[in-house]
Amino acid sequence: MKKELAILLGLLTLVLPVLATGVALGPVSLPFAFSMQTIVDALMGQAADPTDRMAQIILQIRLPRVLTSFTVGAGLSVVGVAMQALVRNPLAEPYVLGISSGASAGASLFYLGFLPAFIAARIDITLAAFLGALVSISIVYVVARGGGSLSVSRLLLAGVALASFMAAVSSFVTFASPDLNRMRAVLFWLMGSFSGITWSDLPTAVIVTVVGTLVLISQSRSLDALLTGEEPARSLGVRVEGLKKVLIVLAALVTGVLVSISGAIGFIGLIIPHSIRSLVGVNHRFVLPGSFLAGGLFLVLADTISQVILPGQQIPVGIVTALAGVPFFLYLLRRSDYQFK
Amino acid sequence: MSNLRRVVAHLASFLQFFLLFGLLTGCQSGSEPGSEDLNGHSLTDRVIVIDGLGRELSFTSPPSRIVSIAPSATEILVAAGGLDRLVGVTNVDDYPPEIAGLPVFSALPLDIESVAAMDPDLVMASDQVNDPNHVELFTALGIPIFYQEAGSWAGIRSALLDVSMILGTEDVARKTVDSLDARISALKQMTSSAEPVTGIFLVSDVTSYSFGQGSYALDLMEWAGITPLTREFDTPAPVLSDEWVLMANPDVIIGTFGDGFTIEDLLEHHPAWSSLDAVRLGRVYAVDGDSILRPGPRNVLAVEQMARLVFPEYFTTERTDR
Repeated sequence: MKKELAILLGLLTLVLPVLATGVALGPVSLPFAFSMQTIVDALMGQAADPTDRMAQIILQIRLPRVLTSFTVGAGLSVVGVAMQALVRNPLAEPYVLGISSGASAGASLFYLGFLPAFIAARIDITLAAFLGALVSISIVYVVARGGGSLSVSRLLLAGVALASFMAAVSSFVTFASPDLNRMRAVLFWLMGSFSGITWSDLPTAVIVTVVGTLVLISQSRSLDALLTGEEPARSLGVRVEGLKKVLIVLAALVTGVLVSISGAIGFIGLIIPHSIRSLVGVNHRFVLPGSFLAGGLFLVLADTISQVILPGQQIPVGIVTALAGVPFFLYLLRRSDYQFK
Repeated sequence: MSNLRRVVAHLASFLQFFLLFGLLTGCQSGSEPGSEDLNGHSLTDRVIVIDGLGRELSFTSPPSRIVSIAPSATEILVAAGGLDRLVGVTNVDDYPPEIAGLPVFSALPLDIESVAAMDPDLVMASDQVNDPNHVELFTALGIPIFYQEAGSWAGIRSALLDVSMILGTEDVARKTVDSLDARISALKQMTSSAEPVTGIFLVSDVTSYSFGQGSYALDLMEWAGITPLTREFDTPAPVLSDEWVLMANPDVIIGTFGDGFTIEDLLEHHPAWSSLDAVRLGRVYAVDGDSILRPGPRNVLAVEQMARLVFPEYFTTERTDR
């Protein structure tokens, strides 16, 4: 117990230094002290000089970008934890189960004007991404559910198939799109990027991620029970069917909102929860907050690296998350003492 | 916008305030667009233009530090007389040669931070390649951004004139536009008496990317006296199948095939095309890529080049002005 708390506390103390690093480092080199002073001044309510370009870079470009990437990393990791508990399989995560691709497909169908007008007039892009994610995960779940029990192999096969199908939907609308300008935007949804993030992108992402995480933490015990199997969970008094519905809607909601802001960034929901379990064990009271913090920290660092690794260029953040995250993940898996349940 | 989204937005603004301890109120004030209106300038020396996104921009004095975030926007800006005010271009800009040596930044994804650090008082963008959502961030940074309309020749022409109004270089731009207009009408007149020729345009000799309805490139072909058969596609960027091309059987094939291209290169990727009239009669032509693929004043050069290749008989004397 003490060890788990110490690890959570350790992650928590890393948050401020990592956010500060993300704000201080970027394509334009700015003195660290200046970056921090600018933020402190703003926090004290001291309005920055609107003609001070460097201060504006900190406040209008880097700060919203760093906070958004933290939120997206945290949200995707927590959804990964929820999905792994839902299907009791370590392979589950938003990307593998087709949720991210479904959100991308929903967003691109909406953006490129392929939805019927009476639907398109009533929703916006975030809602379209959520609905795409919800349709995708629901189909995967229903297919795998057949015969009263959840088949794990069917679930993963259906997830992989749906992910391909939804990616094909996005690609199809890209090719069929009458507007060249919009093709670039769809590529963004398939690859993921934090370029061009503004303050107005942040509130919805923060609310959905924080509320989603709090709901999941409140269900920690039920999630622990679910990992042991549906029957044992039921006998422990968990309302399994209701819990599963909550998990599915929550996963679709969080993933949909985050994908509509940053595009589909893969495998964070896989790498982070397993890394955290290898450190704090399987108890969701620790896995959930740990994944929240570690996912946020990881994506802030990855996005910072993606901006500075090639001088004068930026690369999609998904490249960095895979290059840096996967080897570390494999190392953790290699450690023999790792247990999923 | 749905009601749900509006409710979320309300909740959101509350939480944002809560989370950031009022940081936003600190950094957003004073960067509102149009605050320069308070400089004491009278309304008469204000220039008001509408950009390609339909936004109204107002300038009290001509900008002196301009950054262009698209190669086509650079070309139109320079044609409008703005070369000496350019302080930065993208890493894929290569024309005109005078821009060599200017500071560069990443174009995709756009490195907005480096653009801001160049301290521009105007950013030039293209409504064809730049993300319209960048408006919000540049506005927050207090940097005006002008999206040139580049989807049609009429748009390119009016973008050139609008940009010159902002710069205060209308005389230069007017002369440029008049000379472009004259060259186009001379070409149109020349080719109007010619035997009608059908054609297709290919962006590559490997995959048959082409132009369809709504693309300015088809207008350029028509001015050169070529009837584009791909006008039947209702998307600006169709990918042609080999069989469609065989059935269409164009008189000429024009493409941005690169230097040293031969008909054999095309047949290597599309062997069945050996039966096409254009191939049998040797009427497959490679043209310069940037002058046709990049919307801008150089499009007129592309028209001249196409007309010269397809109707060599009309061009007995070499023109000397490029």
